[in-house]
Amino acid sequence: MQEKSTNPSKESNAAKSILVVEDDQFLRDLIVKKLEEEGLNIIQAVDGEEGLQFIKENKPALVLLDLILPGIDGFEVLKQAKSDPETKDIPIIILSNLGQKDDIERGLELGARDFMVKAHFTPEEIVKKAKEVLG
Amino acid sequence: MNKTRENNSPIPSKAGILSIQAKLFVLFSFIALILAVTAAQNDTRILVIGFAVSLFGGFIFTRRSIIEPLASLTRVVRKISSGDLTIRAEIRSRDEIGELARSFNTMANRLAEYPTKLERTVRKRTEDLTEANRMLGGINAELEGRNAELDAVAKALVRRDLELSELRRQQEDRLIELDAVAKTLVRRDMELLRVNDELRELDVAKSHFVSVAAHQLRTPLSAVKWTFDMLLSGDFGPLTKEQKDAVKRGRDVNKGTIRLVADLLDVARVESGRFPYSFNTVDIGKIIKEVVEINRAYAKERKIDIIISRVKGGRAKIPPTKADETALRMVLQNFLLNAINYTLPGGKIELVYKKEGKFIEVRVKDTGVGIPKREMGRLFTKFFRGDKVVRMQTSGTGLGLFIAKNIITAHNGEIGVESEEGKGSTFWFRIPIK
Repeated sequence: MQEKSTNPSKESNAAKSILVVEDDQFLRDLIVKKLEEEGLNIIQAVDGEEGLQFIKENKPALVLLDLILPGIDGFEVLKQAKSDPETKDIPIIILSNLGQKDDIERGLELGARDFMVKAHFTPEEIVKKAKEVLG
Repeated sequence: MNKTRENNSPIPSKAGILSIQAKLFVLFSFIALILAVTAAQNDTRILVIGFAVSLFGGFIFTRRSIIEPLASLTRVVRKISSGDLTIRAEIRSRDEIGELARSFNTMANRLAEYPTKLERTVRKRTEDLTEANRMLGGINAELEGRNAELDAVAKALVRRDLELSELRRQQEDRLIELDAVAKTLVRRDMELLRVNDELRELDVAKSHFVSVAAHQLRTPLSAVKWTFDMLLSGDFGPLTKEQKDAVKRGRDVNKGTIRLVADLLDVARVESGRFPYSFNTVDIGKIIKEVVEINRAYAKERKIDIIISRVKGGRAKIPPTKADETALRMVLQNFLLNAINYTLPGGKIELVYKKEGKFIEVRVKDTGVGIPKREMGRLFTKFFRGDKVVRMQTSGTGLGLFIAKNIITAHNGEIGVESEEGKGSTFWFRIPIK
């Protein structure tokens, strides 16, 4: 509650904000609701292009990145973010329906902090993980 | 014969013949004597008497010595002329007439002999001819026999020829049939190849479809899961106990569906050969422990004890081996989850792992319901679920063991089960140490 009151604007406190890149509105609404309950500042992107744009413009403290997205997919977003010196240190947690070993390995190799399969975790566990990464 | 020839000799001895000439000389001498005697008497009467006696004597002589033999000979000649060759002339005297009769008889004998000879020759010839004829008849009969045989052989040959041509015709028909069959087979073969290609394409398409469908299903399933999760954690306000129970049931059903989709994806990958195996050195003991830890809470909930026996009946160290860790985890997870689900509360599950020759063997033994013999063979087939399992209303998909078998096969290992109904089952696998 304290954080929320001291940071009323998303724009003014980009360092503390979390970018959620998710094309499915239902899932996005749920996880955003859960994160906001924790007093975190949320930026939402609905596809890869927008996600990449917000990463560069807003430099969020953390990115929750879906992989299967219209246009540029999550892997590409991850690759580009990590190849840009300005954004390469922003931690990115992949939050995806893909859960096969090769997908996980590819994501981690590209520099993702963690790989969470949506169906294997509750929103509470995801928020917990996000807060861990934010420190 | 000799006698006859002597008698009938054509050359009579001159000494034996008292010729007619001599007889006549004697006769006329006698007559002249009589006449002289009578004439000397000078008595005409006596002369006449002498003349008469001479005349009479002359007549008797002529009649007896000449006329009668000639008449007799003439009769004989007549008879012979009419064909009677047996008759012979009577030889009354040794004079010229007798000689004539004898000569005639000789001639008659010859004549008589002639037809006999002829007859004999003819008979002989006839006999020869008859014999020859008989022989010819024999030869003829033989030839006829041969002919009949040849005829029969010829007929048989004709029949055989007909049979052969019939056979040849049948063979030709058969060849045509075989040719047609061969052509059909070739066509079938090509069809099968084509169908096989189509099926392979279909299989790839099916696997692709399953992947896509599964991914499409995962998003709403995740959304439902998160909704239930958040309802239960109070994010949408407090729930009554009844509401919580309902949401929990929904969450469990959703969880089962999520697993089904995950299994379907694995099946699609395993079947299409797209399962991303990577073989690295693994520690089986560590994997087992981790898998057990993940399931311990659920087992406790069902009041089931899990024991790990590192090496049963030996101290041989389990060497690290090359394997796909993720895949082995899937197999172990499947074995363990099945064991928990099909063991009644209060039961026990034992995991044994050991070195068995050149293999590492892992056994998951439960005290569960066991598997009927008739179902054992189908356990590792796709979508198979036992009768009892279905009645227990567990949330299995019937895919876990199928995937497990594929994974162990990809490791060149073996997978199997031993079970007794009502007493429990032991699922095992062994993979070669590399």
